[in-house]
Amino acid sequence: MCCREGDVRQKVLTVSRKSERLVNLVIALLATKRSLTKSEIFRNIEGYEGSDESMERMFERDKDELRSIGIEIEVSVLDPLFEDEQGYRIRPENFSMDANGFTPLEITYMSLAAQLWKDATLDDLTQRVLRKLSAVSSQIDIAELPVLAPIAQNVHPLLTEVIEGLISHQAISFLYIDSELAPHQRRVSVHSYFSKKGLWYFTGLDLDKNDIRTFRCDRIRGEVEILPKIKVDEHLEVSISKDSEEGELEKYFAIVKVRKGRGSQIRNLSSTMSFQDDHDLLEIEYSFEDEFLSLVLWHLDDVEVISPESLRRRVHNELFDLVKKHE
Amino acid sequence: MNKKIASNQVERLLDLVPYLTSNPGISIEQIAKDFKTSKSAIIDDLNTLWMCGLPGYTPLELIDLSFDTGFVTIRNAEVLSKPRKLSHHEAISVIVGLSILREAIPDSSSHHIAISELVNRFSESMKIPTPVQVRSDISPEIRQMLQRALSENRCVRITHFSFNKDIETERTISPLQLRFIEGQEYLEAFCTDADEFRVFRLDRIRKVEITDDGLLANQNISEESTAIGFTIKILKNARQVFETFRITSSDFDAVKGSYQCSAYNSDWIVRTIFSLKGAVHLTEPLELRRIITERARKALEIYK
Repeated sequence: MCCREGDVRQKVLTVSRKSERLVNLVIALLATKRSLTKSEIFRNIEGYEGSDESMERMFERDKDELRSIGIEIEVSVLDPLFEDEQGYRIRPENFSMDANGFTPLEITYMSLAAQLWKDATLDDLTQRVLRKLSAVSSQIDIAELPVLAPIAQNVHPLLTEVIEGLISHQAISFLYIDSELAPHQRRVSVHSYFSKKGLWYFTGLDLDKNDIRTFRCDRIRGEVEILPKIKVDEHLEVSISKDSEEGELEKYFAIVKVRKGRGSQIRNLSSTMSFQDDHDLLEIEYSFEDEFLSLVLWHLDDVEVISPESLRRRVHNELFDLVKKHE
Repeated sequence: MNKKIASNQVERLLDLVPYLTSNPGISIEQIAKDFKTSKSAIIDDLNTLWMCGLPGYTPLELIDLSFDTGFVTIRNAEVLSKPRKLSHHEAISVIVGLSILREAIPDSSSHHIAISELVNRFSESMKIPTPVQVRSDISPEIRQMLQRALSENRCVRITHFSFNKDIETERTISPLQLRFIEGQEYLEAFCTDADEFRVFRLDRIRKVEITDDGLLANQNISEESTAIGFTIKILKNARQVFETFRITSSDFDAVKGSYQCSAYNSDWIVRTIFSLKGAVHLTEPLELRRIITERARKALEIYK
C-alpha cells in the first residue's frame, strides 16, 4: 500500500486539505467542555492560516458546510459586554446517535425498514443508514421477518423531497403530467402523504389553484424543488382542508344483472340482491359514473345495466363504438 | 461542484471512524464496497484521517491508523467513535420503511405492536410525520401463511381470484418463491391441479390453508410464459393508457402513429380495451381485433 506514498501525500495535500481542516474542527468542537472562541479556534486548530480576514472567511464557510451536512453548531455569547465574543461548540448529544434509546431488536427493525428503499437512486442512502445502525448495536436474527425485505413495495425516490417540504413547512415545486401527459409546473404546500396499493401519494394546498389536491409521486417529471419560505394563509388552509374532508360525495344507484358465478368485483359493491335462474339482480351504489362504467365494460357480456337509463345508453354506445373501431 | 465533493468526503470521513471502530481489522476492499466507492478513494480518506485529531496534533492527539497490510485498524479516535445521528433524509427512509413493515405484519404479531411503538416514538423525536395510511390489498395474514409455507417447504390450498377470467378457483400449490415485478408482488408456485408452474398475484389470493403434504415439485421454473405483442392507437386519456399498459415514449412507432405493447394474457388485453372506454383502439393483431368485435357484438345483443 505504501509504494506510492509520496504521490498519495501530494494528493492529500491538495485535495483533502479542506476535509482535514473540517474534520479537525469537528473533533475540537465536539471534544471541548466549554465553547471555543474564534481566536482559540484559529490559534489551535490545524489548517487555519493566512490573514485574520481570510481565516475569518474560511471559518464562516466551514461552519456553513458543516451545517449543510446536518451538524448542529451551537453559538453562545461568552461575554455579555462584548457581543462580538461568541463561543462555538458541538454537543455530543446533538451529534451522535443515542444507542441507549433503542433496543437491539429495534435497531434490527430499523435496518430492515431502511432496506425497503429498493430504488437504485436511494441505494447510497440505504447504505449510510445501515452503516450507522450497525455501528450502534449488533442485530438480532428474526426468523419471521427477513423474507419481507427483498420483496416489499418500492418507495418512490422523490418522496423524501416531498416529506422534506412537509417537515420544513415549505412549499414544493415540480412538473406534473396531466391526463394527456402534458407537464405543468405545480406549487404545493404539502399536508400529508400516504400509500395505496404500492403507489405513493401526497395531499396539499395547490398554491395556484387555491384548493386541496392529491398527487401521485410517479406522475412527477424531473426534480422536486423546495421553495424558499412563502407565507401561506393558514386560515385558508384550514378552511379548505375542512371543506374537502366534510364534502360528501353524491351517491347514485344502479340495478345490474350479473351472470351466476361471475362479476365478483361488482358483487363486492352490492347492497341488495335477488336471485334468478342464471343471473342475479344487484343494486349498486356508486359515486363516479365513469369508473363504474369501466367496471361494467370490463365484464363484457356477463354484466348488464338495467337502470339508470342514461348509464344503460352509455354502455350501449361504448360497445357500439368498440365494434365500429375493431371491425 | 468542488464544494460538494469536499462535503461528501467530510461525511464519509465522519462515518468512517465509527465504522472502523466497530469493525477492527476490516479489509480496504470491504470498506470500499460498503461505502460504494473505489479503493483509492478509501486510501485517500485514510491518509486524510491520519492527519486529524485533537488540537496539539502530536502523536498523542492524532488518530492512529494502521492500514499498510490492506487491513485497517483505528485507535485513539474516541471523540468520533459513535455514529452520527441519522440525517433528515435517512430518518425519513427509516420512518417510511417502518410504516410499510408494520402494515405487512398481522396486527396480532408482537412485531406489529413493537414496530408501531417504535415508529411513533421515532417520528415524534425526529419531528417527521408518518404516512397517513399505507394501504395494500395483500392481507398480512395471507402473507404470513405463505411465508411459513415457503420456509417449511409445505404445500398450500389456496382460493385464487382470477381477475382476467373473472372466476374464483381453489387449487393446491407448492409455493416456490415470492417475486416483486413492476410494483406488484407475486407468488411463483407449482400448481398440482394444473400440473404446471403458475404465477399468482398476492393480492388476488383470498384464502390460504397449509396442507399436510410436503413440497411436491422442487424444480426451478423452466420457462416463462410468452408475452403477446399488440399495437394500439391512443385517442384520449394518454396518461391512464400509458400507466395501464406500462408504455414508455420509446414504444412509439412514428410511421404508424401507434404504440407497441405486450402483455401475458389475452383476456386481460381484451377486457382492458373495453374498460378504457374508447381511449384506445387496438390495431394489431387481427386475432385480438376479432375477439374484441365478437365480444362487443355479443354484449350489444343484450342491449337491443
